[in-house]
Parts: sequence; structure tokens; C-alpha cells
Amino acid sequence: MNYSFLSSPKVKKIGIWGLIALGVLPQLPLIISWFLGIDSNWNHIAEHLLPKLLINTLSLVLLVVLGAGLIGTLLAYIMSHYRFPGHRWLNWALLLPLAIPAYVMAFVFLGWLDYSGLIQTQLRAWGVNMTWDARQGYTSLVIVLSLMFFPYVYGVLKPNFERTYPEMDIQAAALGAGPWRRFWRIQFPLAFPSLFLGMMLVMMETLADYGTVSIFNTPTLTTAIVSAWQDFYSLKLAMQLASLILLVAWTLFMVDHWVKVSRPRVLNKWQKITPTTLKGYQAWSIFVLVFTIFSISFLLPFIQLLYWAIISDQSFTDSKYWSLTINTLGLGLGAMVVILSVAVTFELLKRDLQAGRWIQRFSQLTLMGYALPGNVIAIGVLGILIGLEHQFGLTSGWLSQSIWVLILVLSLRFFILGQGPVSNGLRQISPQMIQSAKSLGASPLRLSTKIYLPLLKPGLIASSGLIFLEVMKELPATYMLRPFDWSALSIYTYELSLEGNYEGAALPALLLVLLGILALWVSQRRRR
Amino acid sequence: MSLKSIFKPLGLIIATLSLTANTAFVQASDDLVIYSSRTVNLIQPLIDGFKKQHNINVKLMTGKDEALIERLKMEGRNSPADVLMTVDAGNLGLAAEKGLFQPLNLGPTEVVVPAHLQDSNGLWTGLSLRARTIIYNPKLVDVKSLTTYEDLANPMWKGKLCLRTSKKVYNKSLAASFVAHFGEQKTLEIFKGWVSNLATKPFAKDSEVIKAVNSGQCAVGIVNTYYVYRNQSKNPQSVAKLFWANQETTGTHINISGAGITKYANNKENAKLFLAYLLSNEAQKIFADLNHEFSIAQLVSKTATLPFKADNLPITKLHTEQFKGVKLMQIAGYE
Repeated sequence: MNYSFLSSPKVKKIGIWGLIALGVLPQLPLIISWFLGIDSNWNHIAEHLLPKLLINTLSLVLLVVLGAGLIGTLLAYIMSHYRFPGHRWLNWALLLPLAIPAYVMAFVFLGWLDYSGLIQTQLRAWGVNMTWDARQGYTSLVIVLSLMFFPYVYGVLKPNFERTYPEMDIQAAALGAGPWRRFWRIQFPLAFPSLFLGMMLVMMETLADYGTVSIFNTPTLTTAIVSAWQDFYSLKLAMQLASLILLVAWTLFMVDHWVKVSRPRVLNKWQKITPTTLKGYQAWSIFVLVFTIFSISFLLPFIQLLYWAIISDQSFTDSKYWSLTINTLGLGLGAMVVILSVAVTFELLKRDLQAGRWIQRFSQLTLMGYALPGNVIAIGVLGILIGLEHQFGLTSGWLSQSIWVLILVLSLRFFILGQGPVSNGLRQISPQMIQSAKSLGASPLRLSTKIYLPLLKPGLIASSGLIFLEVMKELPATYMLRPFDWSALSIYTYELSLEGNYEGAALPALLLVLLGILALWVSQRRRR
Repeated sequence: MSLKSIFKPLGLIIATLSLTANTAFVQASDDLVIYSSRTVNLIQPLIDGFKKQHNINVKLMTGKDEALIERLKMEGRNSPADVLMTVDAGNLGLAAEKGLFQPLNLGPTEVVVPAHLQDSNGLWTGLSLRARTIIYNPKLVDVKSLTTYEDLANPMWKGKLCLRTSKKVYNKSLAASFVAHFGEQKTLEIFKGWVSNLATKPFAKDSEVIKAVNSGQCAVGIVNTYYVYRNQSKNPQSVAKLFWANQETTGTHINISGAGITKYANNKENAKLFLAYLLSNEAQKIFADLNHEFSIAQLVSKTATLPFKADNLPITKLHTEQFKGVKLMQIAGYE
């Protein structure tokens, strides 16, 4: 087939705006909802619910970003600057909390810490009366969410901390700055944009979280969206509430933009730092610290799930677990392929067109899906597709009830996870390199296989792992949009836990976690 | 330009995935399509029983109530669904109000549903009963001090009450029944009293309320009975006991699981067969056994086997009064 028409700038321009339009699709219903009039329940909500919702949401976002930021930064510093026993495997094991779905983590934690939980029950049996209410206030909720989300900060920050800038270091040392001061004044500020990216991911995850806050029964904007729909039967109201989340996300992106332009450009002259090898008691105390965080955030919950799965009435040999696993795997791979190929196409187009301000600004909008709860995106896209079916007289479900729609929606939700690494990767490929390759007569195919792919590969592999993880954990959109008689591990976990059957839910949850470990292992293998 | 070389492999991948993807929109026209908010494990045995009897293929799509209802609404006359099955009269009432059902006209069924447990316009019917009542810890509470739901607002229960979140539809329907029985003013007072009596903030699930009553975190709670039966069969040593509320007055609050035939059903006759099957003695027994619910058959049989006096409020009230009930819970600060 002849693809030469693709080279025309006009086609490329249409292509890029087409992709942007697709990317902002889920936000349209949110904006349109305001043109349908103010919902009649706004007064009631503003008077009785909104103040608390806003306070809860903002406090959680701030506290979690603080908690996850501190843990993530600390670990990134330790893992980049020191070597100690266990460093090799902890290096990637610290990403494992990402493999545990939020709602699973929440019920495991309450299973231990709540009044009727393991620890307090045992203490009472020993005559110790503890009156701590684990669900009250923000403390345990913030702990759970921070432990779940710190790997985002850790993951993006560590590569930056592994760099040192010899020229500056030498000058600073000459001026009498010690190693600690040099870190704070040189490495840290230069890594700040990455830290901010990590924190932004954490903030957006927290904003979109429904599973954890609903298990703690702490009302937030996300739970309010669901209850606007369930309690007030008003999709309009739900969309209007969701647009508040969108507003917060927009603000975050503007701050991110400001952070990027107001910081000095990262200098090219960096070297990999030489880590200090710790010995004796220092080595062991660092190991204990890191291992403790790893245990609380992954190992212990994992063991708990394992235990529940063993005592439950669910059996691993049941054939339905095969199909659930295959479906989950297929969905993850599908979304991964779509996100990464669209991200590469998108970024290449932007680069070819030397995209101006407008394209840059608008392309940022395609990343907002990450802050929106899955059901908001799902219902928006569903409405549009069913509308199209009506328009073209198609059988219902032809568009709206296929695995493709689900993949589309999940891709819209998690596009940021592909776009980031791809655009970072492309930045390393200088246009001159491409020009000289072309002038030497390299064919497009050769350009891709010899230059683009190898240079993009590390980023692509790392982000494919993350995308896979997020997609397989996702629940609301998957639950709403899946085809008939089609289920996945996340759905089955949810359906079993719905009736409080946590032991039963542990088996599919455990399979989810195992798939997640696999995905992380594959994506991290090259980096080790 | 490297875009071209991306498109080729991409096209290939999409083609392969398309072939292997599990797209289920191609369906034989005589399949019975059910949208259900009852989860798979609670509905599959009923579907199996129906298939065995009638040899009709069934396609099931489970989802959350509001999502299924919204979907039906959007799909309109193109909808593949024949039957909508859901729990809670509020959801059924909502679907009826949005014009998603057609009259059932089931004709005579083995088990006859009493008038107050079906839609007054014959658009949907109840299929099984669930009771929501008081649970207490006998070590902490003298059973003689228990009377009604309303009484749990009494200051004597301060710091002793556990509730599930007001967002759960079971509580929304309970609230609706209060509005129907007592009026809005008194209902608000009850909720305010409940909130000030809470031992801890409301739980996400009934099973957690039961745990909390068992462990003594609270003395009394309000839950659906099947959770208690299920808990007792799993943990025989648990101490929490059921108390049938309002026996001297309005009767214990009941709700239904039910179903209706969708307005644009392609297989109306099969849908009727399915509902008639669900109202057979065989299916009613499955309902009761499967989830420790009560069957309609238990309610209507002459040898009254319901272990309590049930509220006989027209079940449609749970829909018509629900919105008021929800707002009152929110005003009272019941989260």
C-alpha cells in the first residue's frame, strides 16, 4: 500500500488535531453539562455536602502528596546514593506496591488496624484496651494512600538522583559546601521538575481514587460524583461535580508548565554518581528502614492476601480463573499497544510539524484523563457512541459494547503514562541525527529500526509496565463497558468483596497482584 | 518519515487483535438478554435452572444499578436487553419512571406476588424479600430494651450505635419508609438522633457493622438479615443476634429484588417465561437458599413461614419517598 500521502503537512496537521480532539473527548460532556442549566440540587449540595467534600478532597490530596513525596524522595535518595545488602532486589521491589489495587490495600489495612481488626482484637484479648478508631480522621487513610502511591515519586526521582554534575560540584566544594549541602543545592533543585511530575501523578491518583475512600467511608468529590448519580439520579449533576476535579487538574498542569519553564534547563554534563557502599551497622540500619517500608507497603498485604486465598472457598483450579486471567492480560496488552502507538505517532507528528504554542497547549489537555474517575470517562464516551449508533442506524452495542470501546476509554484514561516517557525519549533524538541519517539515504523503515526504536525502547518498556498495571487494576470503566459475559480479575475481585466476602475476593486479587509483579519485572529487567 | 513504518505494524496488530477480541455484539436473535445488578454468583444458579427447563440461551450483563439504567435509557429502542433485574424497589421505580419497562402481563404464576410488592401499573414485580433490621450484642444489651428503629435515636443509645453509610441503597429505602410512615419532620429527628448516638462513623458495608457489634465496638446496629445468617454459618462463635424491629408497630422493613421486561425487548415471550420461572416454587427456593433471603413464597403461603411481621407499606413508596429520605439523611449529617 502507498502511504506517501501521510507525508503531506496538511494530513499531518489534520492528524494531530484529530488526535487532540479524541483526547479531549471525555472532557466534553463535563463542559457541556454546564450549558444544560444548573442542577436544581446544587443548593442542597452546596449547603449540606460541598464544604466537607472540598475540605476532605483538598486535605487528602495535600497530605498524601506530602506523605508519598517524603517517602518517595527519601527512598530515591537512599537507593541512588548508597549500596547495602539487599539493594539489588529492593531497587525494583520498591515499585511493587503499585501492583496492589487501592481497594484491596484498604480492606487489608482495615482488616488489621480497625477496632474489630486483628491487632486490636489481640490486644483486647491481652487486656490492653486501645481506643484508636482507624477509620476516623485522615491518619490511616493518608498512610494507606501514601504507601500505595510513593512508588510514582520514587520511580521518577531515582534516575535523577543518580546523576551528578561534576563542574558545579567541584565549584561548590571549593566554596566549602559539604556533600549534603551540595545535594540540596545542586542535585535536588535540578531534579525538582521530576519530583513535581511524580507528585502530580500522586495528586491525580488521589483525586481519582474511589475504592479506598469509599471503604473508609470518607466523602470526597469522587464519591460525590457517584452519589449524585445514585442518590439524585442526575448525570448532569455528576458531570458538573466532575468538572471541579477537571478544574483542579487543569490548575496542576498550569503549575507544572510554570515549574518547567521557571527552572534552569538540565545541563548536559552529568555523570552517574558513585554510590557509597555502606558497611556494618550503618548498612543494616538502612536495610531495616527500607525493608520495613517495603514490608508494610507490599510484603505484609501480599502475605495477608495469600492467607485469605488459601482459607477461602475459591479454588485456583477453577477454570474461570483462566479466562479471567486471559481477559485481564488481553485488556492490558490491548491498551498498552494503543497508548504507546498513539503516543509515538502523536509525538512524532508534533515534532515533524514543529508544533506551535496552540498544539502544545491543547495536547496537554489530552493528559487530563488521569485525574478523572473511570466512570466519568466511561459514561461520557458511552453517551457519544450510543448517539452515533442512533445517528447511523446501527444495532445497539455495535460500537458501544465491544472490547474496543473499553480499550479506547482506558487508553484515554491512562494516556499520560505513555505520552510522558515517549516525549522524553524523543527529546534525546536530535533532529540533526535524523537529518544526517536521511542524507545518507536511510529509508523510513531503517530510521525506525535503527534510530527511533532503540532509543525509545527503555522508555517504552518502562511505561508499558505501568500502563499494564493501571489498566488491569482499573475497575469502574471496565465494569461499565465490558461486553456481555466478559469479566476480568478486577471485576471478579470487586463482585466478591461487594458482599464483604474478603477471603473469597483474595484469590482474584492475588492473581491481579501476581500479573502486576510480572509486568513490573518485565519492565524493570533492562534497567537493573 | 518514520510514521509510515509505524502504521504498517500498527495495522497488523489491530487486525490481529480484532480477530481475537471477544466482541459479543453479534448475537442470535432469540437469546434472552438480561441486565442485572445482582452479581453473577447470585444469579447464575437461577439462569441455569431456567435454561434446563426451557432450553433458551441466556446472555447476562451485570453492572451497577445506575449504570444499567442509564445504559438502557441511552440505548432506547436499539437496546439488546429483554429483562432488567435489580435489587431495591427504588431502582425498579426509577427504571419505571424513566419509561424503560413495558407492562408484564405475566398471567397466572405459581407463586402469586401480593399487590403491595409489585408496581401499581404492572411494570415490574418483586421476586425475593430482604429484611433490614436491628442487630445487637447480647453481652452489652438487654434485649428487652430494644423496640424500634426510631428508638435508636433515643439518647440512651449514645455512643452505642453502628450504621452503614447512607449512600447504600438499603439505607436509602429504609429512609424512604420512614418518610412514608412518620413524615419528614420526624424522620429528620430520627436521623439526627442516630447521628448523635454513633459509636463510630458509618461503615462501608453491612458485614463491617456485624463485625463491630460482635467485637463490642458498638452495642446495636442495623443490617440486612442475610449478612447475619451468612456470618453465622461462617463464624458460629459470633455473638451478635438479630432483633425484629417494630413488631408492635409498622413491622420490620423489607425490600425486594425484582425485575421488569424492557420496553423494547426483542424476546418478550422468553422474558415472560423467565419471570414466570423466577416465580415458580423451584426458583423461589433457590432464591431463599442461595443468599439467605426470604422468598415471596414464604410470605404468601398459608403456613406463614416468615419469622417476623413484615412492613406492608406499598413497596413503590420506597421509590417515591427515597429522594426526600436521602436529603434528610444528608441534612442530619449522616454520611
